[in-house]
Amino acid sequence: MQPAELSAVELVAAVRQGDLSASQCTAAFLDRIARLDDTLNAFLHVDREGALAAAAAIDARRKAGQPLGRLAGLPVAVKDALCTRDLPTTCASKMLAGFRPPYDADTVSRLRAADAVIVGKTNMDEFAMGGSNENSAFGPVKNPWDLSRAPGGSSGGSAACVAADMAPVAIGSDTGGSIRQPAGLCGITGLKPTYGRVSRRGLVAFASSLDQIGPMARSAADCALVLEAIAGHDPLDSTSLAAEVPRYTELLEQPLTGLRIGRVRDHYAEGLDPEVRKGVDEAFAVFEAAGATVHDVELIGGPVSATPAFKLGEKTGDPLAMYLVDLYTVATNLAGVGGISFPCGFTKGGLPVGFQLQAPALAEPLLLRAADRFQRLTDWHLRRPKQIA
Amino acid sequence: MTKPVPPTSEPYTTVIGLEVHVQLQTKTKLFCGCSTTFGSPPNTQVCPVCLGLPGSLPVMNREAFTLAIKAALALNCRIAPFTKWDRKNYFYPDLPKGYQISQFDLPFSSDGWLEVVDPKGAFARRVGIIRVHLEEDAGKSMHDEAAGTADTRIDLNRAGTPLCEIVTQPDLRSPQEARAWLNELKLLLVYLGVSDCNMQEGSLRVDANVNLHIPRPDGGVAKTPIVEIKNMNSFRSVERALIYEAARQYDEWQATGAVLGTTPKQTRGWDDPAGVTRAQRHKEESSDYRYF
Repeated sequence: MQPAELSAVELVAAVRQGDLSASQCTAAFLDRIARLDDTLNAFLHVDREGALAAAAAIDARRKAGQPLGRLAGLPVAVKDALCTRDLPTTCASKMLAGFRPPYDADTVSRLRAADAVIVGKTNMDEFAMGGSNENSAFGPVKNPWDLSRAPGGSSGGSAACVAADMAPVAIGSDTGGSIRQPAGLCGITGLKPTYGRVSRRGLVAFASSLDQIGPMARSAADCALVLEAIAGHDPLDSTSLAAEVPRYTELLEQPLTGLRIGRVRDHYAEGLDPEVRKGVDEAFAVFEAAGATVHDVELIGGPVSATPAFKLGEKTGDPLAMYLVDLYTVATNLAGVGGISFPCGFTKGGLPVGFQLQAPALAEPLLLRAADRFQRLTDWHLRRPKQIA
Repeated sequence: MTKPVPPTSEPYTTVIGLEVHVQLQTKTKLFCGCSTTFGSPPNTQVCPVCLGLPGSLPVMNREAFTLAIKAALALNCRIAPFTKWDRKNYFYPDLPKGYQISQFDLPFSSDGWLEVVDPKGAFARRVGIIRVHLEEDAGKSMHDEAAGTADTRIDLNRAGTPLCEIVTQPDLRSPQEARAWLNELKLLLVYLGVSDCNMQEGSLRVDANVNLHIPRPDGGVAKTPIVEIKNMNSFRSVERALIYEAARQYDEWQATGAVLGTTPKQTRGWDDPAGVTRAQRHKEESSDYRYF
């Protein structure tokens, strides 16, 4: 089996068991990046040499019988808004050209400490200001499902690289929807944790009271794996929460029986694409089949964005339309709570439709469990874009 | 035993308010763990936080706040139940973030006073304190004027050192009284261990606002435009600068009749060797700093 076809959970298990070396795993994804990224433009910097060296060191330690971190050998792509020691960090802006931070963002430190392998830095809207990735100073990212369309933003490079299997996991940041909206438009799963759950130290600020770093991956189970590694208190971020980090991966097993999911009537107003609406309604039905009831508490469910991925250039001349791409996601940031988006269907044209759940502060276990249960009952998250081989 | 101001020999009253910045005696800076030691080689006490590198975050120094509270209590200030930081935006090479973390509308303390004894030791007067707030120091620009190459070098060791800004009411009535009050303040802050108040090393810096109230024959009072004096490097030079400036303002008033409100607030620098104040840049208004 090709590494690119495995989930992050499976990759980590394969490396731990010795079925796959960290070097093989890393090389496989680097090769896909080399082959596909001229088309997609998801990466601003690929650290082939550094990634292979890190992977080789992990393999050597495994061979020597030394303990390995919980993400050992897992390739991770990092949004270029996070500082990476000695690696370019541009925020997709020419203003930061040549900037190589002398320090790692807390999330990057934790990824390295967990033996993840940083493969590169992903494209984004300049300084995270945008919802389509078209504001990048280094050209827009293409949506792997339709190369004429936008991947969403601002973490569009992170979303596209996971959708195209150039990395099993990517790190994004979400100020008004910048993880969930591109995840929705690219057919992957993206979690915006509770404000303060993941340290912001080393994340170039956009709106300090709203910014939050989170994982983007094929599935909720993969997001749970990564969140376990990057969440936690950072004494050097005064807004970081001291709450203990749950074992998200273990909590996924609990059934959804009795869970009440709320539906926001206002999300069904004018402008909601009928195919998006259909996908979202069907998702509610899946949750009901899993034992949840649809009401107005605990979790709030609905669309991630009103439309599927829009054409590149379609909204660049219409700032108001561009603002509206965050319409369903920004409330999560203003409330400081968590939200997750994941694919719940496809349009006739083959574009992913995203579903979003929002939960109270620190209810990440519930968000991940609900999305994971949904993904055990559906296979939308396993579909791959056909335009990308 | 607060008593009214004694009459002076000049045909006017000098009205003075002071703005004093004191560096707090903490081991480390206000928002990072870098040392505050004076005199180290340039740029050896810096980190991503005080360099203002993208992505860095401030974490407040508890000891700085403790010292600041101590100073405010000793100055009879009211301690605010809620206080916050503000960004004071301005662009200068020794301010790496492009803003100073300071306090604008909600300082941690206000409404205090400190008594000053009349130079003759006759009586004490209360000088009101508008506010005491915390902020971070900037770095230092060193201009290579002698070489004529126009090089300016920046040392950011000082950037982020904790400062208390102490702002008095315009309650001081003579240059001698201003100097005496500064001595009182220094004694208090040194005794408390809040600051070493070493002016040579820049750990105490004073700016003075001054104007004259001149009685008119009709019984009214003419007020001259307020001038802010900077660049005074000792308490003695504060006194000398104020004496010079009062005389200068009286001469100017006699020559032009200019009064408060007819001209923008002026900043003048004290030239100690020449013994004169000289006009400097136009003073920013609060709104120029785009506080948020």
